Amino acid sequence: MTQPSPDQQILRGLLDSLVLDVLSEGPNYGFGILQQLEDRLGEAAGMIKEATLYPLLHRLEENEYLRSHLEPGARGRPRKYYRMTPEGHALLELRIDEWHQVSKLLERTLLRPRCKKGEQE
Amino acid sequence: MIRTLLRLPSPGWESDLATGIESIDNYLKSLDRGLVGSKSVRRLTLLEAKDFLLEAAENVPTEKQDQAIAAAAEAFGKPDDVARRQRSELFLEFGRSAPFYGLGFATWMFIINYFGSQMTDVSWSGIVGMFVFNAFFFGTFMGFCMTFCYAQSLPDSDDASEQTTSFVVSLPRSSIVAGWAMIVLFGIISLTALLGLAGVGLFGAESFAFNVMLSVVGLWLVAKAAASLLFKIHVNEADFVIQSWRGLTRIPFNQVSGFAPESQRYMVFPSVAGAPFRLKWLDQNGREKSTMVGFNAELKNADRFQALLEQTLEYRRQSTLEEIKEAVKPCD
Repeated sequence: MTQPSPDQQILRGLLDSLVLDVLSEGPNYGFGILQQLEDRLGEAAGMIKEATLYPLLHRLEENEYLRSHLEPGARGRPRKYYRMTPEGHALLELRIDEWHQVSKLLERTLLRPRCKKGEQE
Repeated sequence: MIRTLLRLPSPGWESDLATGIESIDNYLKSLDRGLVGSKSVRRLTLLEAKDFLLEAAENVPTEKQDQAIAAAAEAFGKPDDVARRQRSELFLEFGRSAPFYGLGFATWMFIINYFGSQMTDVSWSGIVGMFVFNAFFFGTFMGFCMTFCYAQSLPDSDDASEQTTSFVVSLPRSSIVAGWAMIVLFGIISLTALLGLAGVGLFGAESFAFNVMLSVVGLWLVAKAAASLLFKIHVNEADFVIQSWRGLTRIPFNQVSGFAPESQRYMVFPSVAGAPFRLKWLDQNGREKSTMVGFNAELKNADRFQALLEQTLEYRRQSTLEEIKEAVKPCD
């Protein structure tokens, strides 16, 4: 079994927050969420292949971050829509705060401007 | 073996779910083999997968369909993973509902039998044994039925248009039949118990307390069934009309001021069938009014109506926040 690469692991960890972010703009259904994710991730979209939507959405729903309802779809088949709960909004805000802190930490450490070899300070 | 038992009474693949696209049908059949629950319970997961895969197929030209379906299947989840998730959700639900039904039923039986003087000469170990027996068997039976047999009602396919803004929250035909059956059955039981109070009929020889309790429980169930049969919500674009035993109440969406879950103890009210919610709105004079409504999975479109109310309130909250932010924004 191949291990996911570190950037895949980071993105998979981010996926909960990314899905909540998509749903913070309004209710959406499974394939609509996937399309939004692909649009936002652009070239990095391929990296979410190993993360699967059904278990993720249902886990978020079980933890009461999401709720779902059925609506008659455009082609006569019922469609399941997911929407965020107040707990989901709170979790997203918390995650955004955490990522801000990580981002600041990275800017001060790994991503700080570096001198190239031979350059004078 | 257990999985087959949990798929009764229709353990096989339902061919009406087939799409005519081989790769999707193979995925759905493979998924169905791993699911548990009756036909209607499994259908909920299968419909979600079917919609996801069909949407993927419909978004690309025919020659790229197979590739798009394969990618969508991978993104949705492997059939085994999706089925495992569905099974764990249902087992968890069974674990939650079985004690609820079992303890409720056993408590009622204890009250009726003990205080109705049927068991006053029975030892406490006998009473405890009977309580455990009632709780275990009724809890297992009802938990099984409510989890693995009954599924959430699907919206009607005849109003299947995303442009449709009007719909009705109502019981499906099967629940209406069950409601009438409950009224007849418990009506006869409570009438017999009331006659028993006068010392006549089947329960004429039973104690006064026994007949009082049985008639109260019977009448409570009759009232609950009647209230469920009367309950309907007609949802229109700008307002909705609640039809209940109190009559008709028209509420414009822009007057709704609150909608939140209430304590489970309100389920005791005969008029509340299902999870209780408090709905608040402002009348024409600006006075806040409220009513209790009960929603259960049997009610068609109930989840859709709840979503609409929550979105209405969320939209208003966001608008207010924007207005506040605009008001406190510093001048340039």
